[in-house]
This record gives sequence, C-alpha cells and structure tokens, in this order.
Amino acid sequence: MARKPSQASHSESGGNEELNLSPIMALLVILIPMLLAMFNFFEVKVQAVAAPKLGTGKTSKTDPDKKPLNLTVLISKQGFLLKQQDELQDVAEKPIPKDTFEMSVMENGAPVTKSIEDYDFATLYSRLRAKKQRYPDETTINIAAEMDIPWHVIARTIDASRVQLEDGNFEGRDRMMKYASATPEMRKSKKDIDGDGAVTEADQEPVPMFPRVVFVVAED
Amino acid sequence: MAHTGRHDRPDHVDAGEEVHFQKKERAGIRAQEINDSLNINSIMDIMTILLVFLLVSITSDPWNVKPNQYLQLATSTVDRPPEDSLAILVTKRAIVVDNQDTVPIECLTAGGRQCRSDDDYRKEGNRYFIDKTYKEDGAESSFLIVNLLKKLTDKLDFAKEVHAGANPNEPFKAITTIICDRDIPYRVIAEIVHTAGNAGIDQLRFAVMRTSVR
Repeated sequence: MARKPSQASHSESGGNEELNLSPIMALLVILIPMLLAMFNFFEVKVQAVAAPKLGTGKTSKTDPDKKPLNLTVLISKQGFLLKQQDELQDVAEKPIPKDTFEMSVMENGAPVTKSIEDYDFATLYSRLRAKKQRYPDETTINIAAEMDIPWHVIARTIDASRVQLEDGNFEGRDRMMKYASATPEMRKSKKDIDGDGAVTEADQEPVPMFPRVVFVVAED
Repeated sequence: MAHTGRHDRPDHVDAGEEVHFQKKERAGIRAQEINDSLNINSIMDIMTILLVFLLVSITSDPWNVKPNQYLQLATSTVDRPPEDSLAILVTKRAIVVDNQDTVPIECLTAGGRQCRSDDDYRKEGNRYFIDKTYKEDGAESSFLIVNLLKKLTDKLDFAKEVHAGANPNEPFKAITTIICDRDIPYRVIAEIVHTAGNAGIDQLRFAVMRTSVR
C-alpha cells in the first residue's frame, strides 16, 4: 500500500532491518581470488638506454676543446674490460675477470651459501667510481657486449654504472656480498619525489654516476 | 517483542531461584556477545579495501607482465616507473608487438638441435637468434629486422595521428619499452634497438623486475 512520504520511514519493523550482504560477499569472494591471480607480486621498473651505434660511442660533452672520455665497458664471456679515449689513458686498464664468490642462494625454500662463478660487478663498480672521481662531469657510458651475452648480465652491468653507492670501493673475498647489499648515496632532489606538492628535504634521489647508457656494437 | 538475549525476571523469586536466574542471565549475555562477534560487516570492510587495492594496482600497471617459461625479466635496483609507451615484448619464442607475433625467434639447444618442448626452453646454454630471412636483404650480418620495422612504423604513424588530434601543441615523443626475457642475447637486443631507431623511436626503455639486492 502506498504511504505518505512522512510515513515512509516508519514501517512496522521500525526501519531496523539489516541489508542482506550475502550476495555482495559472494561477489567479493569470487572477485578477490580472480584479481589476486592477475596481480603481480613484483614491481616492474624501466632502465633508459640510448640507441646503439656502430663503432665506439660518442660522449655527451660537446665542448670541442675538451677531450671526450668515451668510457666503454666491454662485456665478454671472460669478464669485463674498461676502455677509454687513448689520449686520456695513462696506463692500460687491466681486465676484470670472472671470479668465484660465496653467495647466498635459495635452495628448497631455504638460504644456502654456495661458491658461484660470476661477473665481478663489485670491482667493476669500484673502477667506474674511481673514473667518476677523476672525470666528475662525464655522464655517458658506452656498453658493448659479445653477441651472445644474455640481457640479464647487461642489465646488471647498467646497474653497476648508473648510481653512486655509499661505499665507494669494494675489496676482499666478500666484496660481492657487500656490493649486493650496498645502498645508493642519496641527495636532495629538485623534483617533488614524494608527491606532496612541495620540494622539501624529504625529496631525495640517488646521486647519478653514469646515468646516460649507450649501447654500442663493435665493428668487426 | 524483539528478543533481547536477556531472560525476563519473574515478579517473585526466592534466594535459590535468584542464583539460578543470575547464572542464566550471564549465559544469555555471553551468547549475545558471540553473536555480535560474527558480524559480517568487518569482513566486508576488509574485502572492500582489498578489492580497491587490487583494482588500483592492476590498472596502474601498463603492461601487466606475467612471467612464464618464455619470459623471465632481468632484475635491477633501478627505481624509474614505467611510462605510457609502445611495448615490444621479446620472449624466447617471438617478438610481439600489439599482441601479435611479429618475428619468430629461433632457438637451438647446446647440442645444436632446434628447441621443441618446454623443457628445451628451460635448459641453459640455448642460442637464441633471428633468422636471416627476416632481415634486410636476407643478410645474416644485417641489424635491421624488416617485419618489425614495418610494424613499428605503422604503430608510430597511428600514434602520431592520435597525438596530433588530442594534443596538437605538444611535440610527439616516440618512446618504446622493450620487455625482454633475461636470456635473450645482446645480438637480438641490438637488432631490435637498431630497428626501433630506424622506425623513428628515439627513447628506449627496458623493463626489469625491481629488487633490493644488486
């Protein structure tokens, strides 16, 4: 029976009936596992890289009076080799061979310490950091690799050259362990990093080392 | 009358009955408390928050990369968020643009046999390459992948038109993100990047899985 608007809320039950939430619950119980299956439990980020060139890459400097450093990391199956402009090189760079490191790896869900042969990213970082201290204005690094070097090795090499770490030099048998857990050196950013609408002391960013990465392909 | 969970006290009771009545009353209150704790509203609140969180997380991921045996991302400590860009997916089996297999990737096992089963793709020491028939002039040494160049050029032309219609005053940025399997060799990456450069793409990004350990 139709009621006057003034009587609409004065039903016999006094308006205390609870909404039946069971259908909504049923919907959520289906939706949430479905979304959990679609959800990625890891963060996808991106590394910026410049286009490859044939031959050795050019440096970011445009000043004609200044010799370009032309710093290049060559990745081979044996390890790394650093190259730079011949005229700026005092002594020939020693290669950085692969080495055997004590590493913590997961085996059957438990961490196990194992001896693993790997690229010496710790020594590569230390050498690059020394170059940065000598040539602080240089921002470009060329990366060249043998044709069958897999992408994950190149990605870790870019990681070793991109930002400065709080520890500048890694030495000793446990250098890879120290390098693996090293944190980047931070500085106050000019951008609003935390998104609070203002640039404050809390807006911190890593100090770049060689942020401009160029892929190069060595000519035969 | 609505049930309140409390027992109605009779008008006249003696001492023994009073104790018995108090026990019944306390039991009634406990039952009421248990009934209250099973309220569905709290679960609804949790589920609603979880639903919103999951929806926001999934929609903010532009590619929603799902790792499988043909695509495992490399790891990095980089913290640069992905941007809206043209994605080139490079799995162990094919180069995929716009959800279409554009160029197949050949796979040879360490023994020189062609990879057929999923087990073959899981093995280490496989060699991945692009057949010369897909390259410029059919030359093994060429870095230009013809099918990929055509596909990227078409996609870029379309993106430019859309951008010109929507933001005529802003210059168009040709950015591509390469979502690449960790075992793909430098040769294939260099060929893809060289082809992208020929298509007019000037800014390249490589998708990686973020880790805290280097």
